[in-house]
Parts: sequence; C-alpha cells; structure tokens
Amino acid sequence: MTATSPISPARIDASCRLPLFTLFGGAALWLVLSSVFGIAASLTFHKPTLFADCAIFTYGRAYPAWANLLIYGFAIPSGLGVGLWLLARLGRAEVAKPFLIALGAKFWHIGVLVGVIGILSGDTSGYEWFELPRYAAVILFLSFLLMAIWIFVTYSRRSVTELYPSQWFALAALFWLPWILSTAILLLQVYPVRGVAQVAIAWWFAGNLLNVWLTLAGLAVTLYLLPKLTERPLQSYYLALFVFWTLLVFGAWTGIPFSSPLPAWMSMLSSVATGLVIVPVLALISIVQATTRGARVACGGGPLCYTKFGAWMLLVVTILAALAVCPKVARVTDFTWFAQGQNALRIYGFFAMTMFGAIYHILPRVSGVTLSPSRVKLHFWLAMPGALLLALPLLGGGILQGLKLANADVTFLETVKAAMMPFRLSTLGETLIALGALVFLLNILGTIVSYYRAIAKTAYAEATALQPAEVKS
Amino acid sequence: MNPDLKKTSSSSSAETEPTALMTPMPVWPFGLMLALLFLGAWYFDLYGGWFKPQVYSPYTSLAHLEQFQPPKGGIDPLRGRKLYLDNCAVCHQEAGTGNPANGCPPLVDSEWVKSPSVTRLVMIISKGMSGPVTVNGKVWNTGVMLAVGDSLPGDEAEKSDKIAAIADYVRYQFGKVEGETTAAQVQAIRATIQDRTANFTEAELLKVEP
Repeated sequence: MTATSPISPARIDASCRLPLFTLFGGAALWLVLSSVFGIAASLTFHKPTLFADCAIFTYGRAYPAWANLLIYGFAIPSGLGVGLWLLARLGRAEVAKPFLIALGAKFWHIGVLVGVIGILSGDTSGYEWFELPRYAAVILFLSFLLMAIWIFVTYSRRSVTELYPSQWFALAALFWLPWILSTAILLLQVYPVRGVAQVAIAWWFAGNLLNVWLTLAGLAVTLYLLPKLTERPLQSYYLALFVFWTLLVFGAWTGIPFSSPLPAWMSMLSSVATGLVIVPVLALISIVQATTRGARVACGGGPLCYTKFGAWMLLVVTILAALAVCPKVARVTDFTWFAQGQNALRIYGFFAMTMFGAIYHILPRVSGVTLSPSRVKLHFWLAMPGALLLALPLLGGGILQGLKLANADVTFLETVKAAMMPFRLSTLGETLIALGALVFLLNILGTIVSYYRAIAKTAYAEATALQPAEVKS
Repeated sequence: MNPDLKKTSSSSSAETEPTALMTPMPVWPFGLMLALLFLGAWYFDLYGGWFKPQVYSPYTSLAHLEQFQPPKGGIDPLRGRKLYLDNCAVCHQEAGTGNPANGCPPLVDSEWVKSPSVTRLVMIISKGMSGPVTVNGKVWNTGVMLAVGDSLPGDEAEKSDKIAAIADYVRYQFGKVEGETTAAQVQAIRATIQDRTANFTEAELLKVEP
C-alpha cells in the first residue's frame, strides 16, 4: 500500500507487539505446564503407585496432557507468532488488526485450557496427538481462523511483492493447519467415520501435524535466521523452492505406522513417503551448509545455535523415521519407546529449539527490551542436552526393548525391566527440559514485564511533569 | 514508540531483510528424489499388496495371504468346539478337566481320548458310559454319562457328522491327536451298535480294538 515510503522495521515490530506477547507468553506458560505433566507421566514408570490416588496424574491423563499442551499450547502459538512476524517483516507491512489477532490468541489459550481440563477430567478423545475433547477442538479451530484471517490480511497488504522463501513456508503453515484440524474435527469428532477409518484419519492428522506443520513453521524461520544472523544471502532460492514442494508433496502422506491395523497399502505408501522426506531435509541441510559456510559468526548460545541445532536434529529424526519404516527395523522398533524417542527429538530437538532461537531473536526487537545473553545461553544449555538426554535413551532403550520382545526366551517383565535404565535417563532429560522451559518463561515474562514497566514509568513521568503546568493554568 | 529502543543491541546494524541468491538448482536433489522414488515403487510393489483391502501387514499380496488360509472343506475346529461346549462341557468343562463333584472324569491327556483309533470315543459319545472307569490312573465310580450322541438332533447322517466333529475336537484339543474323522466312518461304527440301548461299561469297551 505504501510502496513509495517503506515502513520502518521498528513500526512493523511495534504493530506485532501485542499479538506476539500474547502468543509467546502463553506458549511459554503451556510449555512449563506440559513439562510438569511430562515428568509426572515419566515418573509413573519408575513407581506405578506414585500417583495411584491422584487421578489427574495417572498416565492415561498426564501423558495426553503433556502431548496436547506441547503441541496446541506451545508449538502452534509459537509457530504462528513467529510466522506472523516473518510475514509482516518480509512484506514490509504493519500487522492488520493486532488487537483481533491478540484476541484470537487469547481465545486459543482459553481453548487449550478447556482442552487440558477436559483431558485431566477424563474426557479425552482417544486419538494420539488429538486427545482434546470436541468442545475444546472447536474453540481452537475458530480462534485459529480469527488469527489466520488477519495474518493473511497482513500478508496481502505487503508493500514488497516478491516473496522470500520464509513467506511460502509461513503461509503454507497458515493454510495447512485449518485444513487438517477441520478434517480431524469433522471426521473424528463431529461425524465420526466408522471402524478402522478412524485410526487412518487420526494418524494422517498426527503425521501432518508433526511431520508437515511443525516442519513448515520451523523452516520458515530457519531460512530467515540463517542468512540474517550470518549476514549472507540464502543459498539458494531454487533449492528452498525444491525443499518447499517436496516437503508438501511427500510429507502429506506420512504418519501411518508400519504395523498399523490397516490394509497394507496404506502403511506402505506412508512408509515410502516417510523415506522420501529425506530428500527435502537433505536439501535443507545443504542450504544450511552453503549459507553458513565461511561465515565467521560465533553462535555463542544465541539464536544461531538454536537454529542450527534444530536443523541438524530435523535431519537426524528424518533419517531415524525413514529407518523405522523399513520392515526389518520396524519389527524391532514397533511398540517400543523408539517412537517416543523420535517424537521427542522432533518436537524438542528440532521444533522447540528453532522456536526458542526465533523468539529470542524477535522478542528484543518487538519489545525494545534486551535479553541478557547469559540467560539465553543458560536456556540453550538446558534445552539442548535435555532434548538429547530425553530422546537418545528412549531410542536406544526402544531398540533394546524390541530385541528382547522378539526373543521368546526373555519374559515380558524382564523386557520392561531392561528398559528402566534408559528410561531413568530420559526422565532426567525431561527434567532438564522443564528447567529450560522455566528459564524460557522467565525470559519472556521478564521482557514483557520490563516493557510495561518502562511504559508505566514514562507515563508516570509525563503525568507528574504535567501537573505543575495544570496547577498554573 | 519503543521505550528503551537504544538498548536493543544489534537491531540498528542488521535490520535489512535477508535475500536469496538465484543460483541455479544443483542436480543431486533431483537424482536423489528419483532414486528414492524408484526404490519406493519397488518397495511398494514388494510389500504394498497393491491396494487390495484384504491384505494386511505382514502379508504382502492376496496370493501370499491365501497360503495361510485353512484348506477349504477341512476340519472346522470352531464347529467341533461349539458342539462340545453345547453338549459336553456341562460335565467335562470347557477346559476338559472333568468335574469330581459329579464323578465326571477329565478328558485332558486321558488314555480314552488319546487312543489310536476313534472307535471307542465314538461308542462312548453315542451310547454313554457308566460304572467304574480308570482315567490317568485314577478310578472314577459314581458318574454316569448319558447317550449324548444318540440324542443329538437330526437324522443318522447328521448325528454322525456332529459326532465326528466333536470327536476330532476332543482328540485334538485334549489329547493332542491330529486326525480327521469322516461322517461315514462314524456312521459305520454306529451301525455296529445301533440296537444297543444301555450305556457301555469299561470292560466292554476294553474288548474293542483301541
């Protein structure tokens, strides 16, 4: 609209402030709560009677509370907030109706709260990664629409028409979620399909959510921050285009596990697609390498560390996922901790780390409040080992468990006991992640509080300065 | 607008947005994609069951699946089990353990069940049994077995068919003896004892070829 006089980045950042405070603040809070339930679910395996008299901390409730708070509470709001900032910044447009987007974010957080209360009171839907009861899912969907509409309007008001790769990813994420979420709500909760078709849809949804949506939202900011922080151009546009389309085309088919109780062609197509996702991820890694090669920028625990670590973890988890659908491997790893290890690596290792880096880059710009680098670094050194310590023992323990399960001479109880030691390590990882999440929350709340304190100070100073003038007149 | 804007460290220097180089795309991602697509198609051909809704993992095709189906027209273990549960399990119990309370001997590992031919078993099922009987080294005195076989519904051919199913089930389930008894076999055995009305006794049965 104002192509002649480009809007200054500071004005764009200021227009993002209210929605981003709401989205990121809530996301950090949910992340801390999610880790608490994660630890509770994990402890159940150390001592099954620990929460026996406390219904909300039993595994069947604590585990879905962990998963849903992590995805709907933390991942989606943070991804959406980062996407909003990218679309506004790269399009050089102020955010359209920031108040309505913030309102949508508030409704979203209320939806998450309703959902987690539903889950904790035993009202889960029973679909993994979509345990939210119907009433909560509908709130989430509507509030997402409210946010997405105005984010899209922001995008369409851009003053720079040519697109940067990050914008494709952020936009695709904006459209992908309503599509999969509405399909899941309609076909699983409003007009449930019959029989095995339910699991097919539930897995398709979870696959798209974890393998496509998280990757889209994460890569949007990876492709932005890498060239930005290393102060070099992205290498290259066409490779990013290739990553984008192959991710969408192949990623959309993933999610149905090898040993699912479905006609073999469904899980096999899904396996093939899971293998093919290696293509975009390897292309991404080549972008990362080509873009950062020779750039003498120390990451020093700052956003660049998070972004690079996230990209490499995406490669690791994609390769693991592709291995785990090979029949010979799948017969060992299916029905073990291996899948949980993969999920932990994908969500905590790739997505959450990428988001942390992005938020630590964005938040000081939006609020004008500097974050102390040592606190960002502290978070990195809690979250990074936490993610590895959570995921790697589960992956290793899963293989151990699978080998023992396949051996008829080993009793089931021995198999369970053998996985205990790796599992203890993973509980330690979960604890580190929880501590990291706490630091993250304090960082974000600290920023928000010091922003409003500065505002209040200025307002107070102005008000006290005015009074003598008023008295005189 | 921003309070403390000066504090923001790197915001002034690096606020230009990143750009992307328009260098041509390398070829290797396409090569990798085509190679993986080829492997994927091959893999799907091996394991995918070609969109047949009946084929579930670990089976890989309809032909593979059919190898594991029970042969058509063979013993139907479920039919024998149902007849056993309806007619015999009241006393002999579902697990074939018998019931000491009403003097009913067990079938599990019983020498009567495991005997090489089915003749004695068919005779017992047809006409019942009474008097003392030794099973697994223990003497059972009090029980009386009625002529269950004779009282099965249907004509002689149908009765024989049902008795054959029960006998096969009992022999396989409790004696681990495999074998297929035909209705004609049973009918031939029953023809030799058709006029008999009393229950068999152990002594009489022992005279028959085991």
